Amino acid sequence: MDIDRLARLLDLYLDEGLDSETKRELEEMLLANPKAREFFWQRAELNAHLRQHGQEAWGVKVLGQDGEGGDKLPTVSESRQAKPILKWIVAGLAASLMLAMVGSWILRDGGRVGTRDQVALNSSDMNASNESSLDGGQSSSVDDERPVDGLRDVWVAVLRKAVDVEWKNPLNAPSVGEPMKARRIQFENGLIEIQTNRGARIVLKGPADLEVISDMEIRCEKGRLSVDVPPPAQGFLVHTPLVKVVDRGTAFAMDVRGDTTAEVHVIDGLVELSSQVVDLPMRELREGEAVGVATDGIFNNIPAASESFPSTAEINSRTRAVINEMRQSWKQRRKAISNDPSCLVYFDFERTNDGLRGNQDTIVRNHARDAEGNGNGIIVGCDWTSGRWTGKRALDFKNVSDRVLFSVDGEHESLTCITSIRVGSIDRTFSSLLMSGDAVEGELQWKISRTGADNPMGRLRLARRSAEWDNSVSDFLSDPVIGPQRLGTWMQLAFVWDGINRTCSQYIDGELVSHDFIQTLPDSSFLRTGQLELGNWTPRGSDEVMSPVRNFNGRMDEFVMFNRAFSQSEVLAFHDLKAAYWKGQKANNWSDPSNWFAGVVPTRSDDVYIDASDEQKAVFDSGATEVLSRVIVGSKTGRFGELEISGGSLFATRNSDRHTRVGVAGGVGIVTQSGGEVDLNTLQIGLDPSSQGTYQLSGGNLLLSRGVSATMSSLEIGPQLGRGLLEISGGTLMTRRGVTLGRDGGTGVFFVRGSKASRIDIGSFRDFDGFWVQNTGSTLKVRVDDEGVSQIRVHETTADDGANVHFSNGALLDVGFEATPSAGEWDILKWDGDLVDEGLQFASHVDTDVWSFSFVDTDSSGSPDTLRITAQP
Amino acid sequence: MLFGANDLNSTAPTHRDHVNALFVLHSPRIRGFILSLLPNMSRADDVMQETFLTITAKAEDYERETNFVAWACTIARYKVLEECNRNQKTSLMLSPDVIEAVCVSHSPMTPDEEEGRLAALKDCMDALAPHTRRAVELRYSRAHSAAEIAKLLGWSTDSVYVVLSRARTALQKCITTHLKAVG
Repeated sequence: MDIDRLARLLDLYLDEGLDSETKRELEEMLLANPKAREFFWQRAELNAHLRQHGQEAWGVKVLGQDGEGGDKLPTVSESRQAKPILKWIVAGLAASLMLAMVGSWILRDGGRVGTRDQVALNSSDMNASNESSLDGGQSSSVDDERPVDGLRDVWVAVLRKAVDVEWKNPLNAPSVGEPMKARRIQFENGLIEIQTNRGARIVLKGPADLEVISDMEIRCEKGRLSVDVPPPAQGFLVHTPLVKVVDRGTAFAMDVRGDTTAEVHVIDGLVELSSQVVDLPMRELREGEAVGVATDGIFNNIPAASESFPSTAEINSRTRAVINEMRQSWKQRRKAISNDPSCLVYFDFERTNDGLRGNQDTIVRNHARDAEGNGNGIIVGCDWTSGRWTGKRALDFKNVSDRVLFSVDGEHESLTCITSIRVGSIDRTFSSLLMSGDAVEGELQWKISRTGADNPMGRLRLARRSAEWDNSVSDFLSDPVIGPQRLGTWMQLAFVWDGINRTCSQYIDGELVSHDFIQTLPDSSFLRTGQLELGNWTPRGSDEVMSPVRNFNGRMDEFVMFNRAFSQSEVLAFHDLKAAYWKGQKANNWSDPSNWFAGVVPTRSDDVYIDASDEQKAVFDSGATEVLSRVIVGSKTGRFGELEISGGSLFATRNSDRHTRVGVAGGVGIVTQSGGEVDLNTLQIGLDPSSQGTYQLSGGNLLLSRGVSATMSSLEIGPQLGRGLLEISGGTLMTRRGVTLGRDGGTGVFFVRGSKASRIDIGSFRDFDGFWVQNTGSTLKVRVDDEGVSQIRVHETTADDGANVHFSNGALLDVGFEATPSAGEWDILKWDGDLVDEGLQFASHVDTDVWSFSFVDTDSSGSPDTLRITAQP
Repeated sequence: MLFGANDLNSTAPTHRDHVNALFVLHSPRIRGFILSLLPNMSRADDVMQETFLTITAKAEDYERETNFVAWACTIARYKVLEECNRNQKTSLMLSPDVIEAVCVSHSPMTPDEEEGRLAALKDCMDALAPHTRRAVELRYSRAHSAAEIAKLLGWSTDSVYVVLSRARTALQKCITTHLKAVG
């Protein structure tokens, strides 16, 4: 027997490479010789082990393959790799019904994924491009890996819905409607729904940390989730640190809190539980039953409460609410666009109530104020369909003749076009977005191009004809960023032609995808409009045209053209309907629409971003805001934001799990409040590495009316490696829950300056007790004035032993005089609960010959309730 | 946490629970068996699931203390043959009579044996040359076909077959040496 030949044939068999000839040869060998059959099993078992090993190593980046999912976070798979092999075997068993197999879903051109009415919210892997080619034909620079990567990839699940989600790493967040590979998903709050390729549906509520391992297996470290498993996904597996749950045709809910506790509630059918901690027999759990697991790994029966878990109904209703809010925001923005004097064309594709009624189906009205009825679009072909949300109208382009014709006269030194589309498929080399066929200098053509080398990825491409007499064009191209996974999801595309700065930029969903210099002669850096078409092209120039058929396949529900250049922030603001971005153009009054990008003052449930230079701080001095979601001041590395509040009422309590932040993600933020009412859910000052936040309260009232969970503070100063300062020299501060100074490596300063603040009440608002947690390196700073110093009170509101005070070893106390030094003693912090003091100490510069501090039992209860400082100058 | 009394003993495991637990315990071997007869990974996955459903349904047929893996593999074999009949023209599977013949000489490993081999495999993987390892990972972690690996790595399909084959020969040798060294 030729063992080498047998090995070669067996390997071909295992790699699915046999043809009829080699198959016959292999089978003859196997039938003829028992040794061959023995060798067959040796090789086949190695093959099976390799597969098992390969699946367990799932998620580990394939060596040297860049751009894969872009997940820079350590995945659970990676961390698991470090564990001993025995653990692996256990995990292998755990993966038991290893149905856990990798659903391999080949996405081809034209494949559609995702829900129809969702808006894809971000595009994490887009890169700016500096590429420019002037040949008007094939692109010269092609990324070798990308196209193949897009051609076939292992997609295991799709993110169907995401409501009010705050991703832990926004740059790497999945988009709604996009298929996803095995990956880790982390978010602080909000609600998502994932469906695996086997049909298992997971609704998950943050804070959550979940790894999608395959279409039959997930691992959850943290979060509240409900899982609905249809027959094709029977055997679906949920790993958690304490318990493993195998579905047996069910719906069930879980609450997972890392390695401390887990609960499993069966809503329907039954599941099997195995302890991950101790060696227990498998436990079966039926409808209406529930089990809790603590660190000991033992199963304990608990009352079933599956109705308290996130459900499809809940996510649907929240989605509807969000869509409603988006629609409201969109209507307001629509008004602002129409009134913008720079707006040349605005098609919103909605029904109109004017004289066009008879031609509703064939005319799309131009809403630009100064168009005065000119520039209406003539619809040729096209079907009416639904747009980004239920009730929004859109045009469906499908046929080679479908198009919208309109005309806009003139040459434009600067031009911005923004459109909202849903690509059905990229059928051709060029899919037209906005095209001119005039064949004159400056003619513009905006399209999605897909050359053979890029297949199946598309690029955003703006072309400008350089001269009337020849076919030469300047091309501005993005990287091939429109992949098959974007098909069927809504995107907002934009180009900005800036003839003054001589740049051309393109955007997808507010993210820059190309930025190039315009290389024409200085006096000819204009774009010419004229006869235009949406979604198609009619060449009118030379007869020799490359790819004459250029129709777009997809939907469009908004198109707008301005004769000025938008900034990047403005494009982003245009895209993000749930956020308002400070522009600070005209004086600095909050209530002036022209101070906000997209010209709309923050409305109900908006996230408000204030980033500007110090000359352009936002001033809020009168009136009342609608109920906002939150306010972010100083939101990114290199950004500085300032908000001054001197009157009026500012509310940011719309979504209970949204925190207002001052200095986040590396940004620097300052809020000064000298008057007015400010009502926030929770306040985080100086969050994340290298962020700095300052909140100075000298008058007015600051109310922090929520804490996200039982352990969550209402006020955090310096969490997560950030640096934060709260300075109170007047007014009142009231919170519902506790205060944390410095968390996870950050440092915070709570500064009480003098005696003018009338109340500093922690935990006095409504239910829940206050608490005070001061971690190592964080400081309680007080300055005594002639009247003394305002006292901080930590209240017990319920009867469950809260209102405790905790000083870590190395927590600092910084004391001094605001005015003339004088002898005396002052009670600076008072609490109703217990004290844990691991080592509060004076800051190094405090003169300990003058100052001392003590914990005092003022009510003779037997335990200290007051922090008292004493000065003897 | 409001946990009630521990009632571990309140529900005695049924025979079916026992069978399912055995399936969990032995699933790597059953999967391996199926993959040996059906090298296409995604189809093997389907057959594995069908096997699980059949085993659950036929749990009563299993007699305790008899060889579970052998019993489960019999069911799996039928499922593979069904798959084989559905796709008669393919040259990617062995013919039914050959499948029957090789199954006669199949003797599954014990879990201990398997554990040792997997541990050895892991060490041996680290010793592979980077490009070989990459091909192996694309094949086994990501279930790419040889043609797809060829495209991804810019090789010819034939060279992918050769590289994978050499990798298996090298790994088999390495594992044998490793196990001998461990004793």
